Amino acid sequence: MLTGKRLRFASSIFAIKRYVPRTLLATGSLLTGLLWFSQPAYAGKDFDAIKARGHLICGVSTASGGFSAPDSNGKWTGIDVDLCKAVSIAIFGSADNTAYVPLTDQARFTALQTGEVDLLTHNATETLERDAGLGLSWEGINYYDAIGVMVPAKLHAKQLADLNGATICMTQGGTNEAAVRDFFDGHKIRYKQVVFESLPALNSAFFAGRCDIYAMDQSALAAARALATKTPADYVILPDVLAKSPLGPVVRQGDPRFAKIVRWTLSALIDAEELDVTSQNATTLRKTGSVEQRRLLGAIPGPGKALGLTDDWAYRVIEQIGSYGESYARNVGEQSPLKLPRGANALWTRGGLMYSPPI
Amino acid sequence: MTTQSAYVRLNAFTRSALLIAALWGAAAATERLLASRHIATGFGFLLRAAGFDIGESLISFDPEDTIARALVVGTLNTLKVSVIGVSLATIIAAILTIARIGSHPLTKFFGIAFVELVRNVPLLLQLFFWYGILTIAMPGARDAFSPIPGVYLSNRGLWLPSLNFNGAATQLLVVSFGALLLTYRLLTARAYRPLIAGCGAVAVTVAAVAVAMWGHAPSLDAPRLEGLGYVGGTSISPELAALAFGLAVYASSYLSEIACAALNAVPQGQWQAARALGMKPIQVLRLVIAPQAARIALLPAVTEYLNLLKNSSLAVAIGYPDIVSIGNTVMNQTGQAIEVIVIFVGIFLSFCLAVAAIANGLLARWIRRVQ
Repeated sequence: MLTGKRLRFASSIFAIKRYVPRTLLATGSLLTGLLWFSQPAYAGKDFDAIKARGHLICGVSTASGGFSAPDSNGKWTGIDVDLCKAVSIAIFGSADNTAYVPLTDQARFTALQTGEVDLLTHNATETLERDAGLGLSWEGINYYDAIGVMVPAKLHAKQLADLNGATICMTQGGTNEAAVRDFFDGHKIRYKQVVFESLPALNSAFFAGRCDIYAMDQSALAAARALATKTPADYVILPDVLAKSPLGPVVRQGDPRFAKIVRWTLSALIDAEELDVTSQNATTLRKTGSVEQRRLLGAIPGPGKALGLTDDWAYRVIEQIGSYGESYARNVGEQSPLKLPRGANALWTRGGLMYSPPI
Repeated sequence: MTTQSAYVRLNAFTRSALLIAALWGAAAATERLLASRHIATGFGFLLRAAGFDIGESLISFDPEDTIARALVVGTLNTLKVSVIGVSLATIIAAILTIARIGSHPLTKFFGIAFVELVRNVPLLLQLFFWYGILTIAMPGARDAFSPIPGVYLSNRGLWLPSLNFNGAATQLLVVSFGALLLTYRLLTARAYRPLIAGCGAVAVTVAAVAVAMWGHAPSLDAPRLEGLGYVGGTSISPELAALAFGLAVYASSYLSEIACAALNAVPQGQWQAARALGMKPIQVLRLVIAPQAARIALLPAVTEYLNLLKNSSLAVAIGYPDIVSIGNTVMNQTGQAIEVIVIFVGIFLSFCLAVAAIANGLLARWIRRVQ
C-alpha cells in the first residue's frame, strides 16, 4: 500500500505528473499566440531587409572544391561564391558586403526557408519537388552538371555494368540516392549503399576502401579526386551519367524584386562572355564598345532602374568578378586544380547550354 | 484555498481539454504559416513511395515501399543497435567494475585510466575512431580473411552463413520458448537434485527441437563472392559494428561509475555483519551487497541505457541507416522537416517514457518488498 514513506518516495518519482502538463499548456498557448499573429511574407520584404542590414548573407557549402570552399587564408572562393559576390556588388557596389554561412546539404534549404540566409549558392540541384514544394525558387542555372561515379582504377571497370554487387557511398541530402536507385535498378545491377552525413566522412571511407563506387555530381567527384587523396591516378571517373543535375542559386518565394536581381546578375555574367567583355576591357568598352556592350555596361540608361539598382550595376560586377568564362576558368577550369572542361557549360554559340536573355 | 493558482483548482478533465486545445492551436497556426509560404504540409507524404534504398534492414525493404515503412525500418535499426549496445555495455561495465573494486593496484589503475579517457573524449570522435580503424585495418572484399569456409572478414563487414529454416521457423520458436520455460522451472525447483534436473532439462529441449524440425531440415546458406559483393548468408556491417562498439564503450564507462558508486553506497555495517557471520568476501558481495546496490543503481543505469538509445542518432555520421539517418533522407526528399521531426520526437519520447515507467514500477515493487 502506498502510504507514508513509500508515498513520499513514489510521489517524488511521479512528481512529473504535476509540473509537465502545466508547462506544456503554457508553451502550447504561447506558441499558438506567437504563430497565429505573425505576419506572412509580403513582396519586397527580403530586398528591403538586405538593404537595411547593409550586407548580403549567402549560404554556401562547407567545403566543395571549386564551388565554395575557404582557401588557405580563410577567404571563400569558388564559382558559387563569385555569384554571391556579384549579387552583392550589384546591390551595394562592393564584394565586401557579404557574409558566408557554411551549410550542410541537410540544413541548406531549411536555413533559406527560415531566413537565416538570403541567397543559397550551394550547388543545389533543381528538381520539381524542391522548386514547388519548399517555398523556394531557383533563379537560373549557373552550372549544368550530372551525377556520375568514381571507382578505383584497379577494378578495371569500363562501365557501370561491370560492377555487379558493388558498395556505393554517397552523401545524404542530395538527389544522389534517388538517382542511384533509379539507374541501378533500371539496369538490374545489384548494389549495397552506405550513406554518410558529411563529405569528409564520405571521403575518408571511400579512399580507405570501404566502398567501390563514389556517386556524386561529376564536379564534386573531380574536386574529391584532385583535393582529397594523395594518389589521384588510382581513381577514375567513369563516363556513365546517372542523372541530370542542374545547379543554380536559390531564393525564397515572395520577393520578386530580389529574385529578378539574382536572375539578371547571372544573366549579365553569361552575356558578358558572349559579348567578349572581360574584367580587363570593361572600362574601355563602356565608352567605346558596340551598342550591346555599352547597354550591358550601363552607358545607356534604363536597365538598372527597372531592377531598382544603379545603371552601372553590371559594369561593377564584370569589372570586379569578370565574365562567366573568367569565373569558370579561375575556379573550376584551366587555372584551377580541377581542370573541368566547359562541356555543357560552354556558351550556346560554342555547343553548350549557357544562353542568357539579352540585357 | 485562495492562495492556490487557478490551474490547480481545475479538475483533470478541464486540464486535459485546455492542454489539447493549446497544442492543437499551435499545430494549426504552424500549418497556416507554412502554407502561406508555399511550403508543403501534412503527413500525406508517409504513403508515398520512398524512391530510395536502405543499406541494411531487419525486414524486407524495396524502394517501391512507402516512406512509412522506411521509417519503420529505421526504428528497427535503431532498436537493434541499441539492444546490442546495451548488452555489450553491461558486459564491459561489469569487467570494469570488477577491475576497479579489486585490490590489485594494476587492474585498478587500468580501470580508472580507461574510464577517464573514454568519458572525456566526445562520443562522435570516438565513433569516427572505431569506424576508421575498422575500414583501414580490414582487407578488401577480394582479399577477405577467411578462417573457415563460409566466414569472411573484410572491410565490407563480417559475413557469416545463416540458417534457413525452410518454413519451420514459427514452430521452432514456439517449441523452443516452451522448452526454455520448462527448463527454467526444472532448474529452479527445490525438489529435484540439480544434476538430474539439468539432464532432464537438456533432454526435454533436444526432444522438442527434434520434433519441431521433423521433416523440415534446416539448410545452411553460405555467403559467396559474386562480382564485388557477397550474396547469401548474413552480415555485420562495419557501420553497425563501429556504432555498437563505440556506444557500448562510452556507456560502459558511465555504467561502471554508477556501479562502483552504488556498491560504495551500501552501508559498511552490512559488510561487517556479513563477515561476522563467517561469509567469505565473494559471498558477501554476491548475496548481501550486490542486491542492495542493484536497487540503488537501477534508475541511473536505466538513464544511461536511454542515453545510449538517444546517442545512437549519431549513426548518420558514420553511415549506419538508423531512424534519424532515414528521417533526414525523407526530409530532404520531401522538404517536410517539421513533420519528420515530430515523428522523431514521438518515437523517442514514447520509447523513453515507456522504459522509464517500467523502471519506476520495478523500483517501487523492489522497495515494497524490502519494506
